Amino acid sequence: MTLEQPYSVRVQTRDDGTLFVNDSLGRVFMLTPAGQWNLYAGYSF
Amino acid sequence: MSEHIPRRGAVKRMVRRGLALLVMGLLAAGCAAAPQTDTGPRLLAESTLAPTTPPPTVTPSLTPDPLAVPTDAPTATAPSSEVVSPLQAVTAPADVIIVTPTLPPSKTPTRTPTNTVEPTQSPTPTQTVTATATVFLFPTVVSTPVPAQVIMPLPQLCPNAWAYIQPPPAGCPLAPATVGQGVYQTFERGHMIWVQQHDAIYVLYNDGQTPFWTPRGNRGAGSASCGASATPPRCVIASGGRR
Repeated sequence: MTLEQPYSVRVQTRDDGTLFVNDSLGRVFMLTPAGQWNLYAGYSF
Repeated sequence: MSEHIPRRGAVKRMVRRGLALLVMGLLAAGCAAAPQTDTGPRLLAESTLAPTTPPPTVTPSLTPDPLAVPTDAPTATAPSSEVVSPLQAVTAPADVIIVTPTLPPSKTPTRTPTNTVEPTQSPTPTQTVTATATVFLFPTVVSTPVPAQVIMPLPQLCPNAWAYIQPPPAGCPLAPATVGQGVYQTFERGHMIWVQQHDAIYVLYNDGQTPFWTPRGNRGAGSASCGASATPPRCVIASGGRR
């Protein structure tokens, strides 16, 4: 999918500064303060 | 011995023996005086017989034949010699008493008592051995409880709960989750997420290097571009956006 997908985004920050952001497909991206990211194993609901 | 009066039969026997000896002596003298002639047998050849086992000789015994049946009939046997009837023996009384010496009765041997060995006194056991029951004692297992450290994730009590992530990540969230408008778009080299409440665009690079993300200030100042000729349009995040 290349088009912009509007969706309801949920963002929650951990006490160490890590951002947990979900995408339109329900996946959760974990963005660390060090600048690295990866897909979190869990899913958002 | 006692003296006997010679009997008449015995005198006759002695006379006869003397006569017989006289006759035999005369015959021997006659033979010796006779001239020797060659009319007798002569030895022609001498042969020696092989020695053979002599047959068993029969030894006459003096025991009477038990099977013989005595007969009362008188047998006509020629008397070899004159039998003198004992009735004709003249006996004369004599003052001589014939005493036959008899040996004194031998002393019967008596069994002398032998010294019997008296049973020796057997030693009496001084120490009595009593059987004792042996009880095997097996080692008992003594188990002492050792506290083991069990690593179990305890539910951390956080002031703010994880709102939408399942399973919840480790640690505690700083604040409750915020919900707002968002735009998500996939690019050739990564992802871009616009978050309304942060007023920021999070660019996630996936260009073969270490995944990296960087926030962008606003939506219009993006470093991504989409080709208008492509159908669907191909959007690429500029690699120059990496810090």
